[in-house]
Amino acid sequence: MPDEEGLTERAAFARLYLEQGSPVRGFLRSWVGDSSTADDLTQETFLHLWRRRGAFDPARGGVKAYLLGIARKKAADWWRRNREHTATGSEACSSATDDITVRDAFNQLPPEMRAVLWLREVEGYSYDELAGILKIPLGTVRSRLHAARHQLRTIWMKEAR
Amino acid sequence: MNCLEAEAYVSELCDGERIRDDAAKHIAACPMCRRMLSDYARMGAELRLAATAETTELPPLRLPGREMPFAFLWKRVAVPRFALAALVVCAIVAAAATSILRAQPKPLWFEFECSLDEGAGSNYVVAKQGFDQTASMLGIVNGQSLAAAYRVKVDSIATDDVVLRIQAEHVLTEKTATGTMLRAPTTAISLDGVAAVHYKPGTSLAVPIAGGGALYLKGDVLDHQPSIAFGMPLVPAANTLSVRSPVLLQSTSLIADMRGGSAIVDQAGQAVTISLPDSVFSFALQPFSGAVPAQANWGEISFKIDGKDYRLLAAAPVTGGDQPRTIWVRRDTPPDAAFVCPQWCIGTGPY
Repeated sequence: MPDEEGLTERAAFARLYLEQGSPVRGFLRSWVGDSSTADDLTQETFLHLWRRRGAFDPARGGVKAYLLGIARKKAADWWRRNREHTATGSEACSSATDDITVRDAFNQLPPEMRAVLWLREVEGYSYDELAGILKIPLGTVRSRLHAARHQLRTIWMKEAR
Repeated sequence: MNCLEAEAYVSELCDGERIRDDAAKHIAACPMCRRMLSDYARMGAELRLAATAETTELPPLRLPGREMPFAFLWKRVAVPRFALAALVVCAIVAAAATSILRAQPKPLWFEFECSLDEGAGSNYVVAKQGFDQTASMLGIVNGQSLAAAYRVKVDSIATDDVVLRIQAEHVLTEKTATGTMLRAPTTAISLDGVAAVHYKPGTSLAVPIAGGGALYLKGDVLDHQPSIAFGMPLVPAANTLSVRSPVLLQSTSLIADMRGGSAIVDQAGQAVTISLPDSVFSFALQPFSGAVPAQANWGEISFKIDGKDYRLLAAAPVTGGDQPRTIWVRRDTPPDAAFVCPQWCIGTGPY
């Protein structure tokens, strides 16, 4: 019954999308800075997994970390293609009020710093998991988190003054 | 430990990591660092709040329709023969180019610190593969003064494995007018016969010192050259004078090669002192009795005393702030024959 099997697989994938789509989109938004691009890249991320679903090995980690790893590559590709046309975190900045929020300050960080801080603070990944998702050494995770927090606090305090 | 050094540990503390004792003690007692910790925690909470508030309905997932497997193989296309041949050549060239590019790994950096008392950091170093350096250090361990020199050679650096060879031995100290100073090692430390160690980043490696005691090495692997090392900027703060691995020239003659020696002061009234057999040079950021102005320009200090031009060249910037900037230097003769340094000594003391 190939059709029924195909339908079951599609239904399972749709459920995965409902469960993991929001965190993947949140992460992508933290990286690229605007919602519609994040929505497009979320679609690309899930389509990538759908087309290469045989490549996912549960023994090597959870599907969410795997999806975030794909999302990281998609965001990095997008950033390379659009670097010269894109201002950092423009969406939230343009709607900022007189009282700057941490989110506004966050959008002014470089994308690599936004990504690591988002995964740590919002998704709660450990240093080891961050190194795996972002494909960077453990020491770089530590120093990048430290630099991101330091810079975020500096921007936040400076702008809030 | 000062606030600048403790800052990196505040971030790790915020993540629930265990941190060094001296950093924890500083943060516990320092209102500014506690404020930073509180700000970091608040920033995290605000980000989580924002993430929750921004959650909107997901757009529907558009999966591609089902196709017959390998349907494209059945479709007929017209391709000129020369185009097909060109495609094959391009594919071969691209494959060769990709394999060449993949064969060139991104260089990794090994950032480490050595100390004579486990957990008390000093001697910060950033190394690449092939790094080979000898350094000396002075510390108080269990109330006893301990002086050692070590040589470390980094053979290879991988993300989770650093292959290095390290050897440590005791060195003599000198009592000078301004305090205890390290005496330069009299012979080079040999690594012949020293076995390579596979060091796992993040762990503490204890290296026995010939004659008693141990040297502790701890470090991390980075994929970039850090602008800060363990919270300590490679460019010191404007109120810090840091002299690392210097050489001292008089005109064009080398009068002291002090590679491996270093001293840092960040308090008024303190000077970096370099003792040579016939002279003692004291360097400070503030003017002091008998001192003449000197120009500090990143890794170089130039000054003139008694009509002679001197230049001190260090392995890293000696101070921060706008450069060049004026600092102060004085040359004295050793106050007592008992305090004469046979080769060179470097340390800190009051001016």
